[in-house]
Amino acid sequence: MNTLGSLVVDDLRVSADVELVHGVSLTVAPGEAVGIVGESGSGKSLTLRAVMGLLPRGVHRSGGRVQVDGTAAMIFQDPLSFLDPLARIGRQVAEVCAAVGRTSPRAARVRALELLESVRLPDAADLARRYPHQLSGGQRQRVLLALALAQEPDLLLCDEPTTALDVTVQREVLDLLAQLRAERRLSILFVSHDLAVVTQVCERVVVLRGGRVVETGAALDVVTSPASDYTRSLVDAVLPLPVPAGGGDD
Amino acid sequence: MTEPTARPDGYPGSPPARPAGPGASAGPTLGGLEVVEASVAFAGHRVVDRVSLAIRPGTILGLVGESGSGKTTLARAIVGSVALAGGSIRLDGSDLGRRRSSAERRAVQLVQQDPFASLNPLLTVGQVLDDLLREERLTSPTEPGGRRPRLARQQRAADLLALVGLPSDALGRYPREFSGGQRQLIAIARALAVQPRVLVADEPTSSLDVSVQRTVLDVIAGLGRGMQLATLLISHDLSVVHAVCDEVAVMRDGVLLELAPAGRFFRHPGHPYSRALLEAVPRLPGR
Repeated sequence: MNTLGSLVVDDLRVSADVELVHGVSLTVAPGEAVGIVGESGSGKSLTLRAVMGLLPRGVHRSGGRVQVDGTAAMIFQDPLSFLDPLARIGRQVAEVCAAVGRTSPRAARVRALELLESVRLPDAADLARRYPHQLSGGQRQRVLLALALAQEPDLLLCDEPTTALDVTVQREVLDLLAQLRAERRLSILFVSHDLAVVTQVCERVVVLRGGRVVETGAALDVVTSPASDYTRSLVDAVLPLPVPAGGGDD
Repeated sequence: MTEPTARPDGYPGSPPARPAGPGASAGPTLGGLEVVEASVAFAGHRVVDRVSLAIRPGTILGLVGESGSGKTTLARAIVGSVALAGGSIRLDGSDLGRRRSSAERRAVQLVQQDPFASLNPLLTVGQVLDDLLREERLTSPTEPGGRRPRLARQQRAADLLALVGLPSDALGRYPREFSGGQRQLIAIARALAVQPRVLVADEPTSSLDVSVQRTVLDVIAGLGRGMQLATLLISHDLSVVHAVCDEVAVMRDGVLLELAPAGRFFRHPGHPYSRALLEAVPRLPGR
């Protein structure tokens, strides 16, 4: 059986001076999308970063097991902090392609353009010549996705990837993520404070609070009939927004 | 179906007629804040382009738009921190010019997104409020010269905290001792200390957890209505605007695309862009 893209996190502990994540366990099956939701201080981002081995300075994994089958790549809330401000977009993507594929610079440039096109960036050739600050927030997040895809990941880790984006751009990036996932059979672990976004992307949800798992279940079940009072309070705090009546005459 | 603009609080839903103060003009003004054909230009480029809107006392206008829409620049023009390239901003019928008197500056208060950055970390909450109350001579002068005695100031500071739902022992504490939501409530109390007529809240809940968002919104809405403020609530989050606003304005690329009563806006958005914004918001299933 193909287990590529699966993830097992077992009793994960993350500590700085004190323990911040107290034994989190979760799994992602091959091709599955799992969301981690929680408020600030819940440990959701630390859990994700521990999976990637990218914990902030002064924070370390103090216990437990993380097992990724295949390659993992990650996208972040703020692409600007991840992109080199002094390098053209095309070069940054090509460098990753060259490192991953051990290909010639020329082949890497071709591959970089393909990737920029695959994340639905219009005029990829023109955009490849630009610098990060010349791109919009949504374009930068697509570039970050292209960089992640250049690593040919089986598991994509997403840390609030649409939180800083405008709502219409968020919609586009979420749609793109769904398309890429279907095309490439990606497994996804998706961290967000936004329950609605998580339920749109993920089949299963893990609710964290204070570094502990409060609840795990099918996304629809968790938001429609939460098992814990805490999850219910999170769901109830989401402000309702009616869907406008049909546009025009439809 | 509940009417989207229904208010859970006990404050009067409709504002009274404009107070006939001596400063009121003879024009057809309704009082409150009026933005008339306002433009702001940076480096020759109009980032706010001939925007007109009005907010009556005791009502809340929600201003929505995406990044680059000009909504924050408009807010800064209203509080007087950027100059207009054209048009005017009026309070109760009189022009708020380029150079504002201290009374005019106090009358228009801003609450910003980041409650961490907006409070001096070296001052206790009581000191922050006391400094403002010491200067404040707008109303109820209790001493010659209009200054408040110290005890009266302390009482007023405690009253302000009570208004936003914080205990009076908060007066002796420093900003770092409070959560993000509490800090935002302190920022609101500080804005109200100088008895403003207009409250501009720029993304007041955007950096807060959802569990405290509702509290902060209820305080802004409840006090805004109760104290008859003209409130401008700027948010990229349409559900925030839906929760508390009476009217909604939509900006894009510096231009006002739509201005409508909230009930109508959320059911029947008039502009295709408004509809696109509303439809792009992810909803929770089953709600």
